[in-house]
Amino acid sequence: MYSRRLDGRTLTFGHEGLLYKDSFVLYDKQTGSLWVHTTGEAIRGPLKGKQLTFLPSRVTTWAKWRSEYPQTLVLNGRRAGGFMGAFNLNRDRSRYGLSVGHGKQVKLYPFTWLPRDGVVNDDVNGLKVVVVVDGATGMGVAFERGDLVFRSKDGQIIDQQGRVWDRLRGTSGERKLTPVPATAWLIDRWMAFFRPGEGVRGAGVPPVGRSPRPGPGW
Amino acid sequence: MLTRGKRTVALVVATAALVVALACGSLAVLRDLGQQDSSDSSDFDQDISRAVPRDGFPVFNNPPMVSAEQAAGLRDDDWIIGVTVNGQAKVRVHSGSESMKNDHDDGRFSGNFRFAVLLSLRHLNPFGPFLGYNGHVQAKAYPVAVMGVHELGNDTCGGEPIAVSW
Repeated sequence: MYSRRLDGRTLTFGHEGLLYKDSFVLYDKQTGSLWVHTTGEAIRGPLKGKQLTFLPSRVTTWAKWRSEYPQTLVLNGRRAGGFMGAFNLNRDRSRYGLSVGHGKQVKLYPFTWLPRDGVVNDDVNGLKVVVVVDGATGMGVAFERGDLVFRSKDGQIIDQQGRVWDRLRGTSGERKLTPVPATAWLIDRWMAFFRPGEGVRGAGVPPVGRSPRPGPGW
Repeated sequence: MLTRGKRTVALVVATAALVVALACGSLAVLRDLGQQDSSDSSDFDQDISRAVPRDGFPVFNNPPMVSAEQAAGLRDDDWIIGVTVNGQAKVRVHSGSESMKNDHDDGRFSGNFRFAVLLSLRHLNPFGPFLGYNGHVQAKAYPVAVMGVHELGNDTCGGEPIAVSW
């Protein structure tokens, strides 16, 4: 999910129909530049090298979303499999991970490595983050945590000062944690863009395929 | 004299060789530069393939959306992509008119523009909850199975123009 605003103009996207490193390629109708839908980066055209601003979004179940945002609007329409439509996290959990960060500065947390009901205090490229898994869906979200250190408690998260925070909204009373872009990726697709150990790209990413498992505080 | 001539010839040959070498060197550099560019594109070419024709997917533009109650076809355990945008009424009005311009270009009228106008009224004179807005948050949900048809969409949320893609 990206903002379509870029440098003071609003872009409108079409589907180029190409695959770049197994990710679909979009074009913008204003300049004809080509964009990779998974990274939000322009790879060709006048806007080559530009990066779309990632908007935090969440993949979750309809029941969960509706209960959290009863006034949500929803896209109605025909369903279809293939590509995106075939997504089933319950079936393919081990193939997906949560990519946390923005643009080229990302870190991948394979879902099977994340504590199912857990919380991961970590940093991505110097930014202290907390990755929180939604117990109901198994999907994750991430927030900037500053100097706070979180742990899971009674379905919510609690910081070292004992404040209780909403697990998925990152709110505690008037306080609100800043969401960090986090999105589910197919692990092999992610690996086509980001190589572990190559500078900041994917720094600290565990080799995919090695068996679990982060301990507490990983 | 002959020796000297030979030397001269040798010098000329050596100079010529040097010139040629330098030229070749520059050419090599140029070629390298060229290769950097072309290696960029050969990487690109290598990594790219056509899956479907351009515009092969019916990308949506500011689609009509329904409320949770009206979404009869959705099952509780269906996966959705949810987005919320916090916005100020002022910002929404501004971007609302922006999205109207876009839609005018597309020959369509924007539902979001109506939201924006009403929201600004609400901001001046609150009249209770408003469809799609939860306080200052607008939430939108895109079922993954429906996105499987479109793959991509242009929409707005809370006045922010968004590209729905995942």
